[in-house]
Amino acid sequence: MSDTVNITINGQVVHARIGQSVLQAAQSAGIDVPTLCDHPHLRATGSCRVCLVEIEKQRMLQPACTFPVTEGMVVRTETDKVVEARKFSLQMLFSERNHYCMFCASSGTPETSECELQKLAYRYGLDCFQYPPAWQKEWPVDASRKSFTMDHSRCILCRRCIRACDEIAANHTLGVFQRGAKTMICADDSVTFGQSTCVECGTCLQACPTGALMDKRSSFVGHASECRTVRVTCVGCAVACGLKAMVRGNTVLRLDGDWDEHNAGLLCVKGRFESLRRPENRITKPMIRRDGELVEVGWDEAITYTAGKFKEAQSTAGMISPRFTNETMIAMGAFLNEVLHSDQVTLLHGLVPPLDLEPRAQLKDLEDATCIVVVGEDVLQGQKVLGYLTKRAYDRQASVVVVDDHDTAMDDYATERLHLDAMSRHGPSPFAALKFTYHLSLDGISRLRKILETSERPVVMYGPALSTLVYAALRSLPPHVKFLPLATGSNACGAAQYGIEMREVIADALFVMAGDEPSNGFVLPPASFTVVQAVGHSELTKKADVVLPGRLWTEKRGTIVNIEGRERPVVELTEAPEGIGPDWMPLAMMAAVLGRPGLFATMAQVQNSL
Amino acid sequence: MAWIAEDRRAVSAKSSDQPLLTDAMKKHLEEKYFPRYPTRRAVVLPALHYIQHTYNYLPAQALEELALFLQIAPSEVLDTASFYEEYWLKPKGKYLVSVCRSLSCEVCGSKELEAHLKRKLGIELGQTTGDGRFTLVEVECLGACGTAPVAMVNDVLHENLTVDQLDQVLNSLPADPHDYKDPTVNWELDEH
Repeated sequence: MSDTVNITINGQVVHARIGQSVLQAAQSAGIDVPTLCDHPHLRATGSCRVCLVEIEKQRMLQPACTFPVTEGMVVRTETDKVVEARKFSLQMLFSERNHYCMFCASSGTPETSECELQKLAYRYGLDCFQYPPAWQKEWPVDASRKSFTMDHSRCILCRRCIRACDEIAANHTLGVFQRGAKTMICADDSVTFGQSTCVECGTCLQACPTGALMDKRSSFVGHASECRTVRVTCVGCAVACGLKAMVRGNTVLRLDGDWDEHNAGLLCVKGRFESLRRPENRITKPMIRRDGELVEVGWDEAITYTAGKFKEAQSTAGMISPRFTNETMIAMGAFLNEVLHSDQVTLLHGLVPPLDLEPRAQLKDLEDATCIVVVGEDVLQGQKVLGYLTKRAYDRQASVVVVDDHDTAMDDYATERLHLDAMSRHGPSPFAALKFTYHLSLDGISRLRKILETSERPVVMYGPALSTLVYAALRSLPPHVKFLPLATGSNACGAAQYGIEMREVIADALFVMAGDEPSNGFVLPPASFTVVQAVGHSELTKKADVVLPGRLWTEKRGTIVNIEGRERPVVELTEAPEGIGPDWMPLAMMAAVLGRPGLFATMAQVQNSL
Repeated sequence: MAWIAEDRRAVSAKSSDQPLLTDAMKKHLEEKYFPRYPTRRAVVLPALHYIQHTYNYLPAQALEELALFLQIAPSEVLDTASFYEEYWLKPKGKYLVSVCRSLSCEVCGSKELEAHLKRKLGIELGQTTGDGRFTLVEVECLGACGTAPVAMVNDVLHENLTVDQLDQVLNSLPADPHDYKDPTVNWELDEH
């Protein structure tokens, strides 16, 4: 039996797959059917009645988004009857709340409007309120969330946000309260969004068709049509989600999840909102500490001074944040090895588990995995997107096994819980993360093996710092088990490729590339001379002898490697302040002073070729 | 338009230190209703009835506890509970007097019944008497047009009502509303 059917839409013969809706068939044939509540990445519900079409042998107009195709079906999408019904639906939607477009951030001309409701009103020539809007009632605005607001007056109750919360973020915060004209989108048991279980991943914001959910940063500062949209990579963690950045002039206004990337539109609060916070007290000029005070100097002076100190030093070491691109990692390694003849290069933080466990899983494997095992890492705290994907697996009844030494946020979704034991590792370490190794008992290992053997499409996400025995046990699992290494630190996997890992270093002179690390609290090994390259002042720069300015993640260009082992592009979204070159620039300048002027001649070529 | 973060919940969800959905109630739901339905989620409707039967309304705390017990989101429980008017999210009187306001009943004098009740109880529609004994509401068709006018007192339907008969019904109600049952219904089958 063939799995395609032939249907006729507006006189055009369309081949559709069985199981497709009329809307999907029309869209794949390039026939435009207007929609509001429908979203290509969400389950269709048919609640807005805007996609109504005429289908022969059907008594009434039918919603295209939920009506399945059948052989010989004849559909008309823009007859007078259909247009009349659509106009009526739109009028009803406009009368339900106070849709005064001129006060809304999404409002615009037919070309620039970001509101799907307004666009349809333009398209169908709605020039007045046929029914009075609900101005009698004061619909509240809920601004209790940090990064985006909910204006109930602009809500059309399409329930996209609820479906996004349920189906994409698997957080189940949103629901509806009351019914009929009183219906409102609510969180949990009707508390404000800020008090609720909302994790501010912003998936609902991305799905909202009107201005009901409004981003605090990008509202009222310009339309998307006036901005550049750039596809980039989030450097918040090693998942390296795909982003669509809306950039106006030299400012990134808004980040959305890229539906066509491995994260399929999903982002976390870190990637979507927090990554755009501007750094406080940005460093714009090189500085040298003189009599205890940091004094601004020129690049040449700073570099010559630093190079001299490194030349004198008995031993040298480099520390680099895992947020840097592969190119900068290579430069750091080359500078230390070739110029300073030191093999002491370490990550500032970030651990990478062994990457040789095969086959490597991709994020899409998590979407249809029958069993997900999380070993030694709290994915709902660290790599949140992986946590949401795991919760999605839990929702579709896949088994979720959490293996950890302490309580994790994932425990509530664990169908089975195994315990890791902490074992102390080689001696005291300045890095808290290096103090322990974690071990799973032999009983636990055999239990894990049993679960995985009987599962059809299992994925094991494993953290760093497990005992060698646990890794050995994971390596010997059946070949259908896929592995995802939970590296901490955005480009820690890339760094590992170039042999840069977190380890202890002892040196007289220390070159620290902190970059745009958002947090303080790193412990540096004692050294008589410390250079810190950073974006903003922090605890690190307070103790530094020389401070060099660095670039924000939005000003970088290069590549990073994510936990799937894929190389992901980092593209400049904004221009760096004048005088702040690429991250590897100070290294190249120092190499030149120290007698290796040609060392990074090819680096520029590497950069340009990307 | 108010740019305020409004807490739409009138009272805090937590109203008691003790769980309102007690272990005994959970056990009852487990034994009686879980076997009847394919999923836990499906038990939400009878469970809401059961909680309302126990507390006379649905305390927010009990809804949260129910969500946890049925392994569904609190928003889903509230979604269901707020959809049906027969679920009370705010406390109501021990006896809920529902006067039918549909056409047949109105033709046969439901407005007189309503006016009498308002006068007698000293309350408006939707209000509860000061002693917490009666709540008065009007409802859509109760499906007994042939015997109009009709009114329901809790779960018991009273047909062909006159003002005097209604007085009689209200005056003879037992102290505990759980003792007030329709003699024509086999409660053994349907009891919570």
